Amino acid sequence: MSLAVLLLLAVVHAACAADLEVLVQNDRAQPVAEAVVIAAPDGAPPKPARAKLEQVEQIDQEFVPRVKAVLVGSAVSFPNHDSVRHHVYSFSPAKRFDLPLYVGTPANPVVFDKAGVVTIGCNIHDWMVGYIYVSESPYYATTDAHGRAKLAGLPAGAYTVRVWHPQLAQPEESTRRRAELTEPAFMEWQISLKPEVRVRRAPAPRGSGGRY
Amino acid sequence: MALLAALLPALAHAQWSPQLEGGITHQTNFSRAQLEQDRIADTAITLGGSAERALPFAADLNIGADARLAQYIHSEGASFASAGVSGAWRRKLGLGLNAPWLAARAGAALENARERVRDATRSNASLVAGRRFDERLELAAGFAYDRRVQRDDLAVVPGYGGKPFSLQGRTLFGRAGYALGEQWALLGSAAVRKGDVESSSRRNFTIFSASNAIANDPALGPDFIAYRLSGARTVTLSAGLSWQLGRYAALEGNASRDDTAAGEGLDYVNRIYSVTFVYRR
Repeated sequence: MSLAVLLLLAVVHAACAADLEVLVQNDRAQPVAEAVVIAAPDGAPPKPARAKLEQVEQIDQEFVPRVKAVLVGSAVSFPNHDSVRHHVYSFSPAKRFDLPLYVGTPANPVVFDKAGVVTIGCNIHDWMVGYIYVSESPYYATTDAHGRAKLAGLPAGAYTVRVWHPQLAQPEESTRRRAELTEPAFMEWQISLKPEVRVRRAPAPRGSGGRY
Repeated sequence: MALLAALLPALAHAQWSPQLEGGITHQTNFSRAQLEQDRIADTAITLGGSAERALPFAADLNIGADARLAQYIHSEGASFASAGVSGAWRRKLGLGLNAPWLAARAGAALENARERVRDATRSNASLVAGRRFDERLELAAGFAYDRRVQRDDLAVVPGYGGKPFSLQGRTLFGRAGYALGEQWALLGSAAVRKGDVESSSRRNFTIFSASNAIANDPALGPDFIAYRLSGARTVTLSAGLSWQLGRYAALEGNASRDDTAAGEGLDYVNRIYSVTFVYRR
């Protein structure tokens, strides 16, 4: 294939691809970070994308990032950068797994082969909670601190776009919207969030030295 | 303090989990006296530091060291410094937030007070079982043994031992923590302790005849005498509130009441109020 043909194909592809910018806010019009936005093409499923090796790190006894979106079939490694051991596990129907106490990076990453939400925890540090959103579509993004996300290079066509967040108070289906993407587009959502209930990390006094 | 604060990140990096505590504790009956005129209320300023780390060959096992200072405002002779070591074991009996857990801890510390009669070696051991029912509620119950050995025998009465601060006791306890949100939590506990107690008062025949060790207690006053009473039962009820300050710190307030019955009408009540700031890396 000549260079000219390759350039032509690239130009045609660029002409057919669109970027979707998204803003997610809560009921009070405040930006919502860590919301996952998924654009699923209508009709024929997209050409299978190649799943990547992803990472959810453990830093300062927290999962980083706390919310991670991955493509179905992706392998995720869980490197522990702390000096204490962690025991990562999940009971979620989309993926049950258990990585017994370790430091460093476990030898085998975990493959997420079923779409859905996987809640992960640490069996030693109960306050550590993270979420892996396993998307069936290769077109997804996670909102930043300003509630914004960009899904770049979507092939022109019709999509159903939805939003998920760990504290979403409404069914994920209720966030679905149709979009015909032929050129750069902008969409925004206002979603209801439940208050977050997490195990407290607060330290406690280690004792007064005896009172008798 | 500045040096300790500077050391914290280095300790944390070296697999130690360091903790600093500072607070104020007020006791309405610090002398643990039966009679109104012998009751001395006092307030202590406390400062403590400790560090724990898991053993490399057994992740469930922790070793630790701690140091503590307490300065009493009125009874200066009771002010002390202590240094100790501890070992702890904790295991979850299953996987997940709701899995029950077992924990055991043993420790020993040397305590040096301004007044020699209060110099002691303390040791304690406890076994606790607990369970978190959800993100908010955790309950635990356990058994503890405490022992305090007074260093010097300072007998003042022929036929009576001079170590009234040599004490031991066994405690059954239960405690609960309920998170009101990510920042606030309610704490509560109840305990029953059976064993020796030390009670200081001016000369008093009833307590004299019931005690089995006697020494002068100049920390509370020149005419105060420390008596050891055995077989006493202390019921403690405690309630507290913890306020999380960021990721590593908390401010905890506690109010508790000790009701001690030592037989022969030798009962006393001590109310204890404390506010403690805790910082852990």
